[in-house]
Formats: sequence, C-alpha cells, structure tokens
Amino acid sequence: MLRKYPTAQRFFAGGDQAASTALLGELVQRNWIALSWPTEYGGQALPLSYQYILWEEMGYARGGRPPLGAGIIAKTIMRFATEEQKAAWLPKIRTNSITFSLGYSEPEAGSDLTGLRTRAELRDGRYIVNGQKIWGNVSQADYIWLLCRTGESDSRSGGLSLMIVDRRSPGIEVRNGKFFDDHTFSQTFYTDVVVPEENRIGPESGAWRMMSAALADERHVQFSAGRVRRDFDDAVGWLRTHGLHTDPVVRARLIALRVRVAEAEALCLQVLSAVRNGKDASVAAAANKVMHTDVVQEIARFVMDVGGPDALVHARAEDPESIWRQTMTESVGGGTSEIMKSIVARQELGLAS
Amino acid sequence: MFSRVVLGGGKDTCRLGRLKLSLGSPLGGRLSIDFEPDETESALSDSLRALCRQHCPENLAREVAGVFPRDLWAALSEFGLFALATPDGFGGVVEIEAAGDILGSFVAPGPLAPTFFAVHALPAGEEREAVIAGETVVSLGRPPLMPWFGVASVFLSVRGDRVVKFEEPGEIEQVATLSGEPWSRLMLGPEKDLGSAAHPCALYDVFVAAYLVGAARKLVKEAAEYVANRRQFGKTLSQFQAISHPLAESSIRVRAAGGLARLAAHQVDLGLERAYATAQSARISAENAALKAINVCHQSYGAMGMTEEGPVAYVSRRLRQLVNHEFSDVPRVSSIEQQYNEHMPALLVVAR
Repeated sequence: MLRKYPTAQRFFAGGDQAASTALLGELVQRNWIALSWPTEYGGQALPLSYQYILWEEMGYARGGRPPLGAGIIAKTIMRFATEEQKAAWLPKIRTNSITFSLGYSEPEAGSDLTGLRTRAELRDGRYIVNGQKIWGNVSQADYIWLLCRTGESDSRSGGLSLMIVDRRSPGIEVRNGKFFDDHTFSQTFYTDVVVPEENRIGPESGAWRMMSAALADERHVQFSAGRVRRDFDDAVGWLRTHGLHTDPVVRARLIALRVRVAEAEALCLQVLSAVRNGKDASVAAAANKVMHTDVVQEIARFVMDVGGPDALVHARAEDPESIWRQTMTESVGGGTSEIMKSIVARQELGLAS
Repeated sequence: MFSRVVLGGGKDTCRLGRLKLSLGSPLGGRLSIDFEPDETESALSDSLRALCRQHCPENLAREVAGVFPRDLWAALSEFGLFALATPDGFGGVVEIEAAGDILGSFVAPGPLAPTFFAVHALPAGEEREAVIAGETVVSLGRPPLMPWFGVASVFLSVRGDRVVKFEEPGEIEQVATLSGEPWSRLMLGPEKDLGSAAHPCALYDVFVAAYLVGAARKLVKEAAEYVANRRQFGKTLSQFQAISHPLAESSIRVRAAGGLARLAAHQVDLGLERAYATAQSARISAENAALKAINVCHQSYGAMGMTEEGPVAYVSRRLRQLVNHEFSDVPRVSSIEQQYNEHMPALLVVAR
C-alpha cells in the first residue's frame, strides 16, 4: 500500500500533501487508524503490536505519525467520556471526517502546563473561554482539543479541564507564522468563545489524570523507530550520491550512528513491551522520546557537518538542510527533552528534578 | 535453570492485509518481544544475586591485586553458569545475558566473558568440560598481551574470523593493568584452528554488553542516591538539573544498551544471521553507556568520586578494562562494518 504513495510524507513541509491525504484516506478506508480500538467503537481490537508495526512502517515511509484524533483524543474519549459523547465523536474520528489540533501550550505555559491561564467559566450551561494558545497548525483543523483552567487561578494541575472547541467558533482568531522547519505555527486567541458544556470531556477540573493516561497509551507509536531508520538510510544515500561514503572517517561515524539507531529501536520496543504488559510505560516512553530526538538530530547534524555546501541546497522536502531544521523541532514538540529527562530522573532514579 | 522468554506467536504474528509486517530490525521479522522477566527468570536471577551476595562481596570486587577469585569461580561453576546455552546445560543466550547483567551489578572479577567464549569455541571433550566445571581457567587476548598467565591453561585468540588456540606459551614479562588483572607478554607456541569465531564472539559480545549494563546501572543508581541526600547551597544536589539530568541521560543510555543486549540474545537464540551485528551493536552501545556513566558518576560525587576508596573508582577501572580488552587481529570497526554490510541493508549501500 505504501508503495502506491511514494511521494507521501508528512514530516517535512513542502511534501506532496495530496499523496499524504490519499494515503491517510486509504488507512481510514481499511479502518487501520482504529486497529487497536475496541470493536464496540468500530475498531478492530487487534493487539498493540499491529498499531506499532503500522506506524513503524508509516514512519519509515515518511507517511506521518498517527492522527491526534484517532490516538490521544479518541483514547481519552473512550476512557472518560459519556456514552452520548462517545456516540457523537468516535465515528467521526474513526472515519477521519473531522480533524483536531491540540490547544495545550501558552506563551507563559509551555512545558509547565499546570500554569496555563486560558480560562473557561461555566455560565448557564455553556463555557465562556478567554485566553491564548500557541503551537501546532490550528488553521487546518476542524476542532481544538483544548486544555483550559476551570478551577481557581492557583489550582495548578487540579483545576484543568479538557473540552472540544469548534475552530470556527466566533471569538477565535488564528494568526499563523512558521516554525524553523516551514511548518505552520499558530497563535490562537480566544475572546468570549462559547463552548457547550457537553463538549467538556471527563470531569470538570479533572483533566490532568486523563491526559497522562492518554499519553501513556500512545507513546509507543508517536515516536517510532521507523522514522529514525529512514533518516539514517537517507543520510547514507545522500552521502553515497555525493561521493562521501568511501571516506573512512565518514564510514566509522556511520557505524556509530547505526548503533544509535539500534538503541532507538530497542527503546521503542521496550515501550511497546511495557504497554502490552499493562505496566507503567512513562519512564520507557520518556527515554524513547529523548533517544529518538537525539538520534535523528545526530544523523542530521552529521550530514550537515560533512556535506559542505552541497548540504545547503534545498531542492526536495527531504534534503539534508530540511531534515536538519525539522529535527530541531523534535526536542521541543511532544514534551521537551528536559521534561523527559526530569521524568526519568524523578521516576526511575528518585531524584527531585 | 533459567527459562526463556517466549517470542512472537499468537495473534501478533498475523498479517495486516498486504502491509509488509517485518519490523526490519531487531527481531528479524518476529513481531513481539517481552522485556519483562517471567517468574522463572526472576526467581533464578534472584538465586544468582544471592550467590553473588555470598561469594562476591564488595571487597572482592574492589580487589586490584590480581588474585584469581577461586571461591566465586567454584560457586558459579556449581551454579551451572558456564554451562548456559550448551547442549548439556540449561537455558540459552538470553539467560547468559540475564546473568551478565547481575554479575555486572556486583562488578564480579575474573575472566567471565572469555569463559563463555571458550565453552562455545572449544570442541567437546575433557578440556571443555573442565572449563565448564571451573577447573580450567581461560586466557583470551590479542597476542602477545594475554591475561591470567599462571592461572589460565587455555589460551585463545581470534585470527580473521577463526578462533585459534595457542599451545605451551611462555612468559616474557608480567605487566600491571588498570583493573589489577595480571596480564603478561607471552611467547606463543604453535597454534591450532578451532573453527569459526562468529558464535563465540556473539556470546562474548552479549555477555560483555549485559555486564557493562549491570555495572553502569549500579553506578548510576548509587550516584542518584548520593545526590538525593547530599546538600549544598541549601538544597539537595538532585535539585540541580546540572546534576540530575546527566544521571538521567546515563540512565537512558544504559536502558537502551540493556534492551539491545536482550534483543541480541534473543536473535542469537533464534539463530538469526543478523544476530552477530546486533550483538556487536549491543556491545558498542553498552561500552558507550558505561563510559558515559563512569564520567557522570565520578563527577556526581565530587571529591569522593575522585578517590580510590570511593564508590566509583573500582567500577571505573573494571569497566574501562573490559571496554579496552580485545582478542582479535581484525580492527573492530572493520568487523562491525562487515557484519552490517552482510546483514543490514542500509550499510550495504555504503560499502558497494
């Protein structure tokens, strides 16, 4: 199937979006974005290994990561939403007829989401939302999976709620800029945005626990080893094309990098193993995120280091300079490397980091 | 005594329509792996830990005078350690990996990895049985520098891709080494070809990787305990990310190397061709993780981390010695590159 869409890629800006959309459409048609969903919600109830393999292959093919809707958002809805909410949202997510953007980070609350200020006040059966969010491409999403404060201003993690917000609601203004890798970076302003109370998922001010559970569900597929291997293979291909592959220094460094790729694969499988066994995967997932990020950055930096002026040419979305810029964003998106290291320090080593 | 972790099987090995299922990586097409030890493995690991607590106390691990650890060796032999993965023994390479991790966590001395190498390189017979029984000690090295002369009676090395055994070597001079292991420059006698080095080398690599992982994990955990309690500038050292994050980074590298060592062990047990490349990768990964842990932990303890009596130095010496120990006349980079070229498609592109 992936061979039908050789130009599909969602990792780098400027790729063939039509092919990427067609590929996603075929995944939906085969019901593969709901591989591990329970059958009662229209899924295939297959073991997590299937999901792992699918997104491993998708990562290698540059096809993209799992859609937010079918992953983190659907899992949260299945676990915490009312039956009416499940009936309203899950079929549309499974068929990809609606898309989501995350509304988590704020200018003053990036890694420390417990300090976020966007506020939702319940008035007469509806929430009135005011605040500002940053990150992601909101302008192309149908809905925003919004994390906002419903508790007191000093309630930290205990005062946060999750709700689904129609991106076209009056009072929402999206200003787009660019990430370093050319992807769209949105700033979203909320001014008295009305959100029906039934769009809140889970208990009011009870979002923190829900978010942690959903992240643990998805971490084995969000940062797949397939993408890391593809970066390495592409690096080798580029060096060969440019006659650098015979340099003994280059070859020795490639061996070292290939070992790093294997380390990323090993950690990815550890996350899968923990999730399959019902164990807490948070440390393994954090370690995997750091390793995944470090290795793709090391590969990209190496090609730039030895590639000289040729590595500066931007002709295709997957050229070295493009990959180099994209990998920069990996150590921030999805939780910064510093936060991941603090998780490992705290939960594995017992350090008050 | 050890049980194997079961790979693959069941629903996990079905096909997803026409999607190619092979992970194309560590499991060589197998789809599932369990990193969690089962009850039997846990119980047997506990037994080996109990043995080490009795026969491998810290003062033995700290021994730098180069005395062969006879009591420990006898206990390990009686336990059946060196018979692991042999036709007459129990378990497989996964169990060797598990044992390596535990022995590393005790910083156990002696030619452990060379003994596994010899058991799987020597032909069946009395000499091999004597090695398994702990009665014959093995010296594995790159001539003329060989370890344990005077104690060892089997002298092995690797020439190209073959194991060779030296008869009746003579000592030229003794040399002191970093970890205290007694090494000598030898005048070597006639040599005998023992066959392909691939399988013994893979077992050596897996064991060493696991040993380094076990020892490095111990170092990092102990350093973490220290910085969680040591107070400076009015708070614990662990509250400084400049202290805690390098330890976390070390922990991540150790975790990855450990996972790779286990994957390699599984692959060797399954007889996969790519197992040798994975085993070499695991060893390199563990070496890097261990060397990073050494540096981070020396630093975390401050002045005490720099002392000979402190908690790091004796581990540091042992691990550095293990990392530097070689026994082949083929440079490691060439050997690894050859393995990758033959069994990992990506680097095939580089070579040809």
